[in-house]
Amino acid sequence: MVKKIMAFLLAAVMLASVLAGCGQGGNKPAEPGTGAPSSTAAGAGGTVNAIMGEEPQTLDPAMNQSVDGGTYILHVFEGLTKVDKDGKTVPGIAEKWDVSADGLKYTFHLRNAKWSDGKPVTAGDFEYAWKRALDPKTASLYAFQLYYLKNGEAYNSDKAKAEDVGVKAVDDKTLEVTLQNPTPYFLDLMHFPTYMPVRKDIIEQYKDQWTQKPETYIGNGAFKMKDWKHKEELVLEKNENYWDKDKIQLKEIHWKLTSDDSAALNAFESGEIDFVNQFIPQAEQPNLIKEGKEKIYPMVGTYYLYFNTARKPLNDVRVRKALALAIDRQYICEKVTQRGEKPAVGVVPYNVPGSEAGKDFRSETGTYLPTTPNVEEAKKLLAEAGYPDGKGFPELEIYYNTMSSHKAIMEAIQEQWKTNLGITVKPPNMEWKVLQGMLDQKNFTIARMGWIGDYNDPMTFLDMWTTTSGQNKTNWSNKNYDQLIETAKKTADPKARWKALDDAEKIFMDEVPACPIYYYVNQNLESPKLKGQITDMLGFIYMHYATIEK
Amino acid sequence: MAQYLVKRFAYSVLTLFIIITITFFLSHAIPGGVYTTEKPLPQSIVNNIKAKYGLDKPLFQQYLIQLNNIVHLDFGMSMVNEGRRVNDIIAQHFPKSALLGSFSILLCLILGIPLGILSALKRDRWQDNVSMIIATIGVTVPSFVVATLTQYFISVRLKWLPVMGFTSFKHMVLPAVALSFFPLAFIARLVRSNMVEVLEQDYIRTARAKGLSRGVVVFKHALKNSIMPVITYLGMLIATILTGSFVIEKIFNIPGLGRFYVESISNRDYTTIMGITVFYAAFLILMNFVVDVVYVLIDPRIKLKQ
Repeated sequence: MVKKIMAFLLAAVMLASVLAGCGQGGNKPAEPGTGAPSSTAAGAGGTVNAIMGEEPQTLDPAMNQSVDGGTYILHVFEGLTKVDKDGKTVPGIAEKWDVSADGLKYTFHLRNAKWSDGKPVTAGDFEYAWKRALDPKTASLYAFQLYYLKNGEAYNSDKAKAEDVGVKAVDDKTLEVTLQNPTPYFLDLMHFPTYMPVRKDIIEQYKDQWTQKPETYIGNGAFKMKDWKHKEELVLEKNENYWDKDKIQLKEIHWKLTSDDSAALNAFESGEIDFVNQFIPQAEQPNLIKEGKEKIYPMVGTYYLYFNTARKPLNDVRVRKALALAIDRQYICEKVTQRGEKPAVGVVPYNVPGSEAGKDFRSETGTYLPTTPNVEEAKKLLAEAGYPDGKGFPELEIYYNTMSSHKAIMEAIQEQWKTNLGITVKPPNMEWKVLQGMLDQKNFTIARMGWIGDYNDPMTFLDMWTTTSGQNKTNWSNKNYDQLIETAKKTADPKARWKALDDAEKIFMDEVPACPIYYYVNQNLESPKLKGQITDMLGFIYMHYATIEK
Repeated sequence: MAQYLVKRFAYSVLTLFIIITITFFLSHAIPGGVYTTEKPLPQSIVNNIKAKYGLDKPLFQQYLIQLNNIVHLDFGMSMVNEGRRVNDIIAQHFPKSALLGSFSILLCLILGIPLGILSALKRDRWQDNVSMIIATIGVTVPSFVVATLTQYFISVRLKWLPVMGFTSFKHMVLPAVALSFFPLAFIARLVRSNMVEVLEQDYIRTARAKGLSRGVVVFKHALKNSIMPVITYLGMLIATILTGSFVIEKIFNIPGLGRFYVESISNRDYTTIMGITVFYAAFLILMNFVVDVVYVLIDPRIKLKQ
């Protein structure tokens, strides 16, 4: 009986969908521009509808702190360097540059490029933009990304003047940059959103309103703003004043501003949306990956458990090690998250460049953690610490922010520690900002956290654990470690730098103030019609070289 | 009458003052702040942000500043949405929530009241059972379930309506249906139970005995009395629905005020939290007043006084 009803329902739905298919003529969303006969090359023109998140909090390069906001900014602005089709750093607004032998001085020579309103892009635009982002009055959340400049941090903390900052426009086409320390990845930073040039005349005239309207949101990138309907969509169109406009095929990008994952999937399945980054329902992902609709991209990010090393029993390094060894990382990646994450074997993820071109840091250094638990060793360490078979071990709490994917991981770890070590932990969840508040006050025992690199270098994963770092919430302090990071930052000798970074990670993994669980990946739903988008290691999306079939 | 209005106004102002005070201190009491971001920030940057938004001043001083702004009907700048005034956020996004809300309230009334009357008149017959089953489903199934299911079947499978957005009337249909599901069912049940009660009153019997037709009795005499509780409910409903629903607006990507309200809290956007709370409270107070006036118009026994 039930079967019959189901069959009937199915038939009814199928009939209805056939009918719907027939009457669909006028229903399709309008694609502006597709009717125009002017397309020059095959595949030119076209509109991409994409989802990457909620309304961005700001589109001001100096104020932005999010990956989605940064992605929009990178479409409207271009820095001294840019990312090419293969994700490599290549010349952008700077045609060429000279670097001093000590690695402290960069001289950029700018090409002839124009802003979207036709005015020339000058070295002064960069100088103004960087000093503005560092100005304490601007209160930029990402000002620290400019601390590489000489006196950048001092100026941002009101301890130096704007003139002291190491950036100077020698003339309209020459920009001189002096760094605090030699920074091997400085050219990669030149295409980070905070380093984009902005227009002094516009910002002085329109103040904080300059990003709100297409007429005042003047950029120098491949696209420009056509419309921003708050909480609805951000429409970008090709910028005809862009210096390299012949390489840009898309006519428009419609970023729909939503973070509802099931609605995003519905819109993707119905064909309204061609591209969704990250906001994909967790439960559907294994199937979507199998069907080829979802693509996985590596990302430089590490998922951690932070240990509060000032609290008993975690002040004992043997306990921390035992906990770290008893986790089944492979199980978590393959059975729990199921999105192609890689089990963590150290602090620094895969795909972070190493000392030689083409090699990654991970492959050059040790493997510190087993992917499957080393129960014997863990038990031995726990017994040495005074808790044989977990006897007498206090009941600990793991704090995590409310989200079903974290919940599943925390429960898996809870279960693994129970079986492997005989200890009991409770995972209470809380709102994201509450968890951050707890960490700021160091009021936690174990907490879940993640870190996505700000640039692709081991340093972004290592310098956050020094004693003075505001990002080290674990109460862990190690003089040798601090010294090694200092050396790696100051030295101009690449060999000494890599050795120091390698040694620093060794110390960290020997003391495990935080326990790496897995390395993040990035997920996209991609329509087969869309080709040539770039999803980079830091999570930014580039539609610059994309094409879409009509 | 004038005295009543003055008194009522004074009470409203007092209520708003209490709401502002509680909202201010509660929102500042939740851990975290605008400066707690994805990545923990260096102290120098946190200091800059606090100085920019005046969060470095003593809390009570911040309270007085905000109170003064509110008296001048200026809720200040949003601390999270760079470059947007809270007044503008309300002015731009409330109309969208209100438009959708009005449409769904219309649906509630047009369908809910007749459904209730039908059940009452055909009491315990199949019409009653069917409409009350529908009403029970409406009351028990949450709106986000209705929203997700209709979105999947009607938009993805059948492709009859767009999945998300807010650009045409077609975009409004599914969210309005999802929004009106619960109140529609609730109104139907409300009308039914009152109608059943009223139909047994003596004056209805008298009217029937005088030989009035069934239609006149039901629509002229019975309906007027059984609709009073609906009006009470409507005051609250209008205030709730017109100011926007977070869940529905999120699912259908509608740029309404409801989304701002909830997100401002998780973002610790203190000025936006305050602005929308005050706006919402004032709107609710106004609607309650309107309901009281409507009572007087419908029922001559009620007078406007304390």
